[in-house]
Amino acid sequence: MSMPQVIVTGASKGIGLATAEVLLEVYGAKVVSISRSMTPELEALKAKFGDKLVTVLGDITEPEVSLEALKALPSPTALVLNAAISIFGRVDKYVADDWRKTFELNVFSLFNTLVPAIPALRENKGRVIFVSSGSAVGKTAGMASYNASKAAMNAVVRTFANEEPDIASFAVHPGMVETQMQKHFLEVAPTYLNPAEAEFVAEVHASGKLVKPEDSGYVLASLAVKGSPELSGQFFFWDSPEAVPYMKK
Amino acid sequence: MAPIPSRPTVLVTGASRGIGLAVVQILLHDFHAKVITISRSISPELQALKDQYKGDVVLVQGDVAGRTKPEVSEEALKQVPSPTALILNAGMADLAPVVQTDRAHWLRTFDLNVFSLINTLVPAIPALRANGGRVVFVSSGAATGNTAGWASYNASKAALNSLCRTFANEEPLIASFAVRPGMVDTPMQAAIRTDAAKGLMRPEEHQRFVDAHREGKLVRPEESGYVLAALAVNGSKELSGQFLNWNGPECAPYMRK
Repeated sequence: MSMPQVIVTGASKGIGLATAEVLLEVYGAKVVSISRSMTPELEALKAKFGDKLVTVLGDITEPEVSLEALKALPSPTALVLNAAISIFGRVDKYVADDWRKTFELNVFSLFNTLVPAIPALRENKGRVIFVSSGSAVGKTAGMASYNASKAAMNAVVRTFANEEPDIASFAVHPGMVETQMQKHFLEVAPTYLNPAEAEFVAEVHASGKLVKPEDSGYVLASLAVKGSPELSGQFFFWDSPEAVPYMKK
Repeated sequence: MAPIPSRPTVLVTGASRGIGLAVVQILLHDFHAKVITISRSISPELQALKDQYKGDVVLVQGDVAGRTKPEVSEEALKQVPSPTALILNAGMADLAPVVQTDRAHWLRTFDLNVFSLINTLVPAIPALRANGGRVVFVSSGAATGNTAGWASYNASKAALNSLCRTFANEEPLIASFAVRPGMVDTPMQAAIRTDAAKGLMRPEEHQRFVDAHREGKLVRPEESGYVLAALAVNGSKELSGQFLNWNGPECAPYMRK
């Protein structure tokens, strides 16, 4: 298998970082990461993998940032579109700026990276991993903008897969993963979610059922490298039957 | 707080033509409702309804689209402060394969199809709660579909369905429905049958729309419009949060007899 060449967004921590790590360690990929900031973990990966990892620093909502990544990696074999934000709030307390920010990052910025990469992805019979969420089909109170943004993402994946037969596209719920975003979720849940929903979140955290980033990252990385075109356009969970072949053995 | 209105008082967006216009006509004629409309333009047909039904119709001219624009809806609600229902119908279908899209394309569609929902919904929440009101989100099969060339429309309708689910979950006093109105014989549908649209779609998928029209299979606006109006006036709380098909079993009680 030739060397995978993968752009990963939101790669400085959490799921994005874990996915980049697996791509580098397990698949010997060349990785270009896009993130707003450098972290000690990214520095450590750079030190370990040298020029196999190029870190592009910038805001993914700005088109130039993705163009810079494509300059460093003109012929990607895969994209992992992971950068996202979750801003909590009930609809009756609507904050226009929160909805705007959520859609800018979770929906509109997808195309900053995706569209310019399409010619290369077609040529390479490449793959695009859209990091989605159970929220795409959910209704958790206090998360209207996030839920809607992920529902929109899934529709994009369905449609893009139909339009682009040479590119395998997957919408993946990465699980409830042990990250900073998840920690924040636990903290705010009692304020924004319905009581039963907040209880569920607390229960998952307390019972040690959160998914380890490296386990979820392994599935995303494997899909990026060898995800089957037969799954293109589909939405599935990181540990669903479809995903089992891509899990760490 | 004002007493609950004795007649249905329904705010309809995108009311100047197509499904919106049909819904307004049905609300006035069949449901004896008071109607307040928001549209960018006042079509002759809409004006004719105003002339016929006089004080039962309030026409507000304005654009509900945009990420930070509740002013038009707030203006409408100043004139009719206590709606019993909203029919969120304003929407556009702007076709382009993803590879041809730019940022402006996505903003245009989402500003109208998604953000206008919020702009209209939020200021009306207190009244809807007080009135045990209803919200009808005019959705589409596109919400769960994958038709090529329709990415922004599909995504906007998926977002609409999601908003309906979440809003229903947050607001137990308000019954919310996302409704697929069918393939309706409207100007929006006619635009799909053009050569311009054909060039942006897959041939076999485009042909489906052409065939449906040629075979007389398009839904008349007054048919599914009746279901939308009936849900706005009488829709059951039990259906709240659901994505309904205008001629599916759950909607049978709401179809014209």
